Amino acid sequence: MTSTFLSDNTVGVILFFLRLGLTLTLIAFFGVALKTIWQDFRKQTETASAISMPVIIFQPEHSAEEQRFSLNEISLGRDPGCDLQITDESVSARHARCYFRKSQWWLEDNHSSNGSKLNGIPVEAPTVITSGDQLSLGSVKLKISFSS
Amino acid sequence: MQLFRKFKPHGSATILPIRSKDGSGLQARLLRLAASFLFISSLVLTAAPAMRSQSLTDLNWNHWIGYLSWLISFALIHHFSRKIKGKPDPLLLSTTALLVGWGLLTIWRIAPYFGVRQSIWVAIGSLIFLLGLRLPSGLGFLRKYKYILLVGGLGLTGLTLIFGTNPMGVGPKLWLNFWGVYLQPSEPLKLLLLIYLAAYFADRRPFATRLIHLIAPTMIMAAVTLALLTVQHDLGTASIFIFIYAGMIYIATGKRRMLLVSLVILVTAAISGYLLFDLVQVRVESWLNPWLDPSGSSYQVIQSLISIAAGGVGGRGLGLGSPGLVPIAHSDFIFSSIAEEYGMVGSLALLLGLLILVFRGFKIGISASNHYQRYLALGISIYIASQSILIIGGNIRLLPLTGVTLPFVSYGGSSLVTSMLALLLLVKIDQHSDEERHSPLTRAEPVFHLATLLLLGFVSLALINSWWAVWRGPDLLTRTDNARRTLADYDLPRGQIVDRSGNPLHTTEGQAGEFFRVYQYPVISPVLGYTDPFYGQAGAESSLDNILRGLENNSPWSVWFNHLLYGQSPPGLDAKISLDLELQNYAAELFETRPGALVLLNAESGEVLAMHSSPTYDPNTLAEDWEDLLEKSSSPLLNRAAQGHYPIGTALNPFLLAFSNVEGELPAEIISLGFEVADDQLSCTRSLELPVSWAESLAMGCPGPAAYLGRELGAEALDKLYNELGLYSAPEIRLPVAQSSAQLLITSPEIAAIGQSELTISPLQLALAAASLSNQGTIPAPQFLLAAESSLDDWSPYTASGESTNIYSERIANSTAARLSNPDYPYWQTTANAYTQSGQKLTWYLAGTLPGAETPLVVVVLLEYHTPAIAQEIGLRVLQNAALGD
Repeated sequence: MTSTFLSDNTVGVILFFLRLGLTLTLIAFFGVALKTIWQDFRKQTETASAISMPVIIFQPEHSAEEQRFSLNEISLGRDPGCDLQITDESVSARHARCYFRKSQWWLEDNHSSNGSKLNGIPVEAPTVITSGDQLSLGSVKLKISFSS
Repeated sequence: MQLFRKFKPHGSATILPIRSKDGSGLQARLLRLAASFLFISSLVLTAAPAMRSQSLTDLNWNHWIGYLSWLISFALIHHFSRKIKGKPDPLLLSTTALLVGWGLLTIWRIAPYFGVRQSIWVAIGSLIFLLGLRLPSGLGFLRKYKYILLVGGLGLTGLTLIFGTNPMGVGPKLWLNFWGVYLQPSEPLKLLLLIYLAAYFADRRPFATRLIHLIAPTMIMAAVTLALLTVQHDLGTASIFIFIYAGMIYIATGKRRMLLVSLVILVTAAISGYLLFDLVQVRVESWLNPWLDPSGSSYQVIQSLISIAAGGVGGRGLGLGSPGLVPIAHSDFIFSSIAEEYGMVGSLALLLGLLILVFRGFKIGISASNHYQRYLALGISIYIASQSILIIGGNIRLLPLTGVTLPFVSYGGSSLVTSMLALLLLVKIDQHSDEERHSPLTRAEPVFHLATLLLLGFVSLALINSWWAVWRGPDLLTRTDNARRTLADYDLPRGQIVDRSGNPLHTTEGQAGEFFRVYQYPVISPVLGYTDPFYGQAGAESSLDNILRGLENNSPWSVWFNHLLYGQSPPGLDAKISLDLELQNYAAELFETRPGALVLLNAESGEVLAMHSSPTYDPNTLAEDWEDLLEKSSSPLLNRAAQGHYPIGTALNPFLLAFSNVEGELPAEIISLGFEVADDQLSCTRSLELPVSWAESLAMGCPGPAAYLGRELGAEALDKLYNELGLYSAPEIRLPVAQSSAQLLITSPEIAAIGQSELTISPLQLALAAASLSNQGTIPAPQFLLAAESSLDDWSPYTASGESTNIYSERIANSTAARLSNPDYPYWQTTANAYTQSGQKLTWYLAGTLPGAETPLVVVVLLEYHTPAIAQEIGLRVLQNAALGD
């Protein structure tokens, strides 16, 4: 009685190949996705290794004391939470920030009350800093230099 | 000309190659693969019912509505996403598309009713996504109105306290009913909380030194949110909130102790939840000890694990498994459903898809253009990851079960729309961050730590999932609460049970999808048993199940092939058993309704020619009679012949006689025929007058001479006798048999010799021992299964699995048999009494052919009354009939 049952395997075989096909497309999907992630990752590490961030040094005017930072973003202001705390009435709580971006250091003013100047020019948009620049935050003057 | 065509802008394209020109090409490629995957899945779903019912007219087309809804939705998303500035991450969109479509088809497969609704939700979610693409990319408006948004979300969630309903009628009331559309406000509340936390922390940068000042307002908001969810008994969402909150604080502050603090909060919440809510207690207990209550509180978890085990590595095939056996399979347990039909390959791919989403979210967060967007993107990743880990972990018993949805995959409009909104936020953040305005990551460590933690979570999910699917799979599938086996019986014809001449005893009738078992001779039912989807299996139906189900005697290749192709076993094979239908019916006729048992053996081959247990029942009406059958004190379901436990009583006499012959000559005089135990005078089965011969008194079951022989033999020799007769070991036979008594410590040789020690035996055991007297001193190996169908009208024979054992010489066996016979019959005979612990007096009758018989036969009759004459008559007539028929 069992011998004739399911002797027609056609549906089963077609279904099996369809199932095989769907497993393969699933694997193909994740194969492509993972390959992309891998290539992406490799390019990113290559790009990252090509850039080296110089250490930024702040030196107040008429002073030998200097502050070095190897962070990629430094907040400047009177607030004790700032990376570089400047205790001067003319400096706002969170006055400005410096950050390393696209292989360069940038300065951005945080809408401070007394404004920031770079080499005497008011900073209104993020500006690139170079070694030896003169930074003024309110009435405080800092000399910026880099060392690798 | 050439130069201009090949010109490529430098710079921005190299750092994030995903976003470069081939990005949309990659997205199209991945979407095409996802679409093909879902297209083939839909084809399989269409054909699967035909496969199950073996009829080509049985095709299923409904789910193509779902496929079309998905195809149009994501084609539009693909089209418009290419138009916007800064094309979105192709991996993010295409992986989402795959997960949403996969979930949708799975929901269609399990519950078409919910499939229709989910198809509409996919369209709605995609429409919202498309509209959202037009929003300003900085998401500043969300930041600005963070308090209003969160309070609004809380208000909406709060409304469920008053107006809440549950679409299923029972359970926590977490939904609001808007004219038939159910909204679960706690789903979007997650996003609103994320937006609030991200905006709050970004506004406070750089942070003040006192941590408590920073987090105090967020703690208040988070506590309010949690309290609301706790009152609502939506503890799954509440735990996700704790995860999100802890993760966000850690990322924002970078304080590792925040993780510890959150851990403390989580543990406190868990413990207080355990103490306060019954639901949490039940969930935790069914997580720790699911095997204690598999049909009660841990039913869901165990069914989910069985479902995963049923999938194995390659899956049972889409549309061919039974994922619907797990409660709420389309929502809470969608992961196990996918695991069952797509196998471990599918479930690992699903985990990988979720992991890709989470890590793309992290990547977008890292390269976001400001801290607000960064926190938001990272928060969304934590939300997707923690919710996935929580529910999948619940499905595979890594974590206690919480009723949250699997993002993008599970059924649920609120859940799907929220997931799509989360995706929209990620896309907007990604779009906003271009090279010029990339805000640097101040602290990489917390992000890295969290990503590692979530990755570890996913790795444990993958490992535990594989453990259930592969290593524990076979064990789980044989559990009786795995309904897949009995379901398969409706689809596949079960093999027949036929008697030694080929007469069908149990047959399968009906057609594919509704096969049912027919029991032709209900009088054999205690021996042959039944197979039933609800009441399980008993008797030969249970012991021969693997043959009848086609797993045994079929080539392993054919079994494998059938499992691969059809997700089921090959058709069942017939089993030929040693019973003789005529003798069987004759014995039943003689027994009438007397409770007792009979075993007739071929003493040489050990084949069971007849095995009767009385009273009997009719398995054809099992469903109607079940309660009755269980309650009856006469236990008709029990096969008394093989599973009964009876004291041997003076049925030991023939063996004492044979054994004493071995040891030496008997004294001439018998002192007393009866024997006194605890003020009870035990006597022979028939009143005898002294002087009688040893053999005659022993054949009449007299306890006096037995006790004398026992005293002479001593405890050690009796122990050896018990052991050699096989009374300490269960017969090796393809039938469910009683567990044998453990070896006794014989303190009184007399009590042991009259068979009133604690030893109990089954009639089958005694018949095998008795066979030694008709088989030259050798106990044969018993045989019940003669052959199994192998291919077309062919039988492959089975041999007895046990070994025959010689216990005394041919001379002793023959002389003992001769001494127990009388000139009227060509048989040796013994009638005996036995007393149960409750004082009931049983009758044994043993008889067998004498040396030289053409077919050596032996019969044992047990009656649960003191009726030696009837026992003798039944036994003799069956024996005569068997000898004649031969």
